[in-house]
Amino acid sequence: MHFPFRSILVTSPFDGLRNHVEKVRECSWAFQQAIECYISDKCEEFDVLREVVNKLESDADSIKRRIRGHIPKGTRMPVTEYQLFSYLKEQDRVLDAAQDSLNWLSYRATHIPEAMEKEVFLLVDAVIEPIEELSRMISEAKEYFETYSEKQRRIVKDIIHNIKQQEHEADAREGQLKVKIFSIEKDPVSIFHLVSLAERIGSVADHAENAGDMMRAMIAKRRWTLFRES
Amino acid sequence: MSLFLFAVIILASLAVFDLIVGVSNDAVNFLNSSIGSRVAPRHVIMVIAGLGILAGVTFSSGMMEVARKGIFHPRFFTMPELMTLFLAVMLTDVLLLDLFNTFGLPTSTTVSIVFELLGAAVAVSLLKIHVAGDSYATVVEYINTAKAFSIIMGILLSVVIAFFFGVVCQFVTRLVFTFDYQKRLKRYSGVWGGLALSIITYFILIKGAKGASFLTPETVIWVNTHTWMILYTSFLFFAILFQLLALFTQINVLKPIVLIGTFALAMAFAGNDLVNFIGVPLAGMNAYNVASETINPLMASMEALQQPIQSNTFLLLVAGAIMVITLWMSRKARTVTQTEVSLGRQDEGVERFGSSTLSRTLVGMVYGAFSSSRRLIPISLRKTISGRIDPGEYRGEILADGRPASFDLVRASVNLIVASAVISFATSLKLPLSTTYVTFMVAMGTSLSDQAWGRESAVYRVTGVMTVIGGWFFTALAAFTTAFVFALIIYYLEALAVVGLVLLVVFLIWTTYQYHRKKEEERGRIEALSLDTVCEADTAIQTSFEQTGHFLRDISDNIGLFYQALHSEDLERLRKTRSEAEKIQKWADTIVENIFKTLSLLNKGDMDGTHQYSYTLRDLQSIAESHMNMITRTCEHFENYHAGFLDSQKQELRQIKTFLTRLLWNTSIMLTRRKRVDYDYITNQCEKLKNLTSEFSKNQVRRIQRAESKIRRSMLFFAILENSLSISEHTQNLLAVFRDSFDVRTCEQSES
Repeated sequence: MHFPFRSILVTSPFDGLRNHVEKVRECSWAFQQAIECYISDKCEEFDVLREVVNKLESDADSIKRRIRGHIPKGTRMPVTEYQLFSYLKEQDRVLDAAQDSLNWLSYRATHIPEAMEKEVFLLVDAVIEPIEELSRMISEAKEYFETYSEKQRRIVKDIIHNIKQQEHEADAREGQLKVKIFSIEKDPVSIFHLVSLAERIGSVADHAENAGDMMRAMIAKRRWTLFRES
Repeated sequence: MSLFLFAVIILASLAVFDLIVGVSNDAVNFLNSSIGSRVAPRHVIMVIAGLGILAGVTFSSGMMEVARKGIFHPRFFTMPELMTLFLAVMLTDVLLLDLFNTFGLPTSTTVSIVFELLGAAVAVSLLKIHVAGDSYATVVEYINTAKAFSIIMGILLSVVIAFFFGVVCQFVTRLVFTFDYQKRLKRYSGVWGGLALSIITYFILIKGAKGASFLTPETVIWVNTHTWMILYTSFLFFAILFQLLALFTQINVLKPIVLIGTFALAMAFAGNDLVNFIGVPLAGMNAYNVASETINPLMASMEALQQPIQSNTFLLLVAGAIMVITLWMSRKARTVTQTEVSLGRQDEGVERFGSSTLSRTLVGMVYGAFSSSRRLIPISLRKTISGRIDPGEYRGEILADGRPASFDLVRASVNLIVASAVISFATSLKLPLSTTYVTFMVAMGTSLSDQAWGRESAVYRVTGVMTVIGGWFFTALAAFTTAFVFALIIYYLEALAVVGLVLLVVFLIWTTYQYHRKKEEERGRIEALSLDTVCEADTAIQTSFEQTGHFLRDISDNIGLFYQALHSEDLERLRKTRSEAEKIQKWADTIVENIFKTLSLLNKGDMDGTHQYSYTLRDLQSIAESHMNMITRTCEHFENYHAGFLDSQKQELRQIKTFLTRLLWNTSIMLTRRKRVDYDYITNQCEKLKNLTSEFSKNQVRRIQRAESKIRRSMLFFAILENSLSISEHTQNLLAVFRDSFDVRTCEQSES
């Protein structure tokens, strides 16, 4: 049941988290654009888009610092500070991974063969999907911590489950891309560069999944016990 | 007795709440004309109304008969019974008025309190009769049935009389002044000012100051017997004064008339309606004091309450102060005022109420009757009248903040004059009229006469009026029933019931507060979208870019939720997305209205640019409609208990959602931040979505061939695909228009 005066007593940290995840989401699209631009020979804006990602990462960092520095005193939070910060850290790593991938790509002008393009696009698509789910997860979790309804909890759990599934899909895409790299590419440096790129791109989804796991812990039911189990 | 002292304290606290909710509802009676015509800045109007309230409270002798003996005969009741009755009444009153305020519907606080007293008194009387073993028919001995009947008659009378006089007087006044009234003001200022202020002065004497301590009974009798003399003298005095003002100064004489009228109505309200809010608690206190002085306080008869009791002036002043503070602070008071003002608004625009069969039928009938009766009027006369009352060219005076007034000062002054005259006349004839009903119906009558309810708005306005009038009957019914039930509960469960009901009331008030706040935020958002105050095409275009961006973002969020609900076949969530889609649809209407405004501001010579910009209308409407259609069809599907999608279909829809929301979000970011449009990226996403749609359509055909998917499920699947594709295509079109606009702007900036 919705307790009417709850908002006076409890402060929700989820507005801050939502702002942060919006930056992550936006960054993921810029990341996708940058990759598409890199692959397309005509596009000359890769560096511009990389800068956009860097800028978004820096904006997200500011939000992160604001959340950390403005934990209200005197009111109760629905989750512990430790849980909140761990979650935030993982959500931030999603962004770091995207930024890292673009930086890695910029270190060497490796040509991506046309036969490999589709796999790269599919991998990028696959890693962006869980990020988009993260945004919705935060909104739903916010509502859960306001109502504590079992139904809402189930919705959040479903999203976490989706993220997991999407991460598995991303892993599969990463595997397919690696196979393609080894079958097409002959130059060892290019192979190293591209395989490492695939792993870095794949790690974006891994961090989104980790963030989902953290959320799972946050929404776990608490049971009152007299004695801690040893 | 300490338990009853506790009851008196609760009554006193409820009085404070009742004053707040009561003023919030009744403020519209005296604020409507001045706020609607924007005769002065809001704070000036508030100061004048506040002074009127304080004057009304100070001069009021505070006779609170209605609460003590108006509805029931106190000699038949003991103090505990009266406490039960009063507590039930106050709890109901706070609850009921707050409910009306939340929905912004004006109602009569007098009708409310009278029917609550009636309901609670009937309940307690029946219980007494039951205990005594008498016939239930004897209940009429306990109740003042004549008063209740006269109030019901008052509702009907005030509705008809006020509306009729509102229509007629406004029609005649408009014939004289026309909509271009400034030109004729010098000529008619004296007559009009004299007429208006003589009626208002008489109203102050009859209604505002009838219970004033400074007027002796002899003076009141003199006023009643010298009506015409007062009217003639004041007419002459004010006519000369106003004619001189019009001839030798630049003062718009309608302004003082409206402000004095506001003061008079506020004063009458405070003097007469205060009883509705604090009458019952004061009666409770009196009952407690009377009982305390007897040997057997719990069994003593309350006959002493039949005697007139002078209220404490200090308490009246405190009540006045609470009323004034509420008037300034209450957001709900603004909502109620807004309802009445928007129903009488001269111009078109977004309407607050929808359309209903009843209103359509009524408008159709009236329209038919007018069309037929036109033939009876000679053409020359018809032309002359039409020429004088034609509001066609009327645009309303644009004020300092760039927004026009809802109606002009002529109508505002007619509202006040007619309302004052009808109330004074009815009071002198001892007819019970509700101030709320009179002022509301006069306002509606004058707006009808001014053709504010044109063919573009009549149906919606009539729905609004019917809703408000329906609310008045609901007030009586709900007040009676709720007070009846509350009295029964308190009678049997005593203190426990009081605590429980107080908690219930607090909970409900908190809930309605939250609801109202949300509604206010939504309304604020819509109002913020309005381009009423924007006069430059460039600013208008920039603003509409931004608004469209937010609009697309909301659609994207809602589509995200929709697909999730669809996936989990969650009907409750689907309904939530449908109600969100309805809000978004309204939002789209506002943005479309703004685009019209922008089109009117754009350079008429630049036909290509203007023409291209007009495409956004079609695109925005299509996006909103496809969004709505997709959700409504899905809701209906699940509401009819049809089967959900197969796993393979769900998987495909998930992909569609990903691309669609991404597309919308990206477009939104570009528009809201005025980022340079990366059209290729969006086109790419659109292309992907198109390919996916075509691929999934083929898959669906295969499923149909394999008899895997039922007909309804297939129809819905195709509908979702089609609508998603439509949204993406129109978003792309929209972006193309904005991109061109941005390119032009960027070029212009770089050149400069």
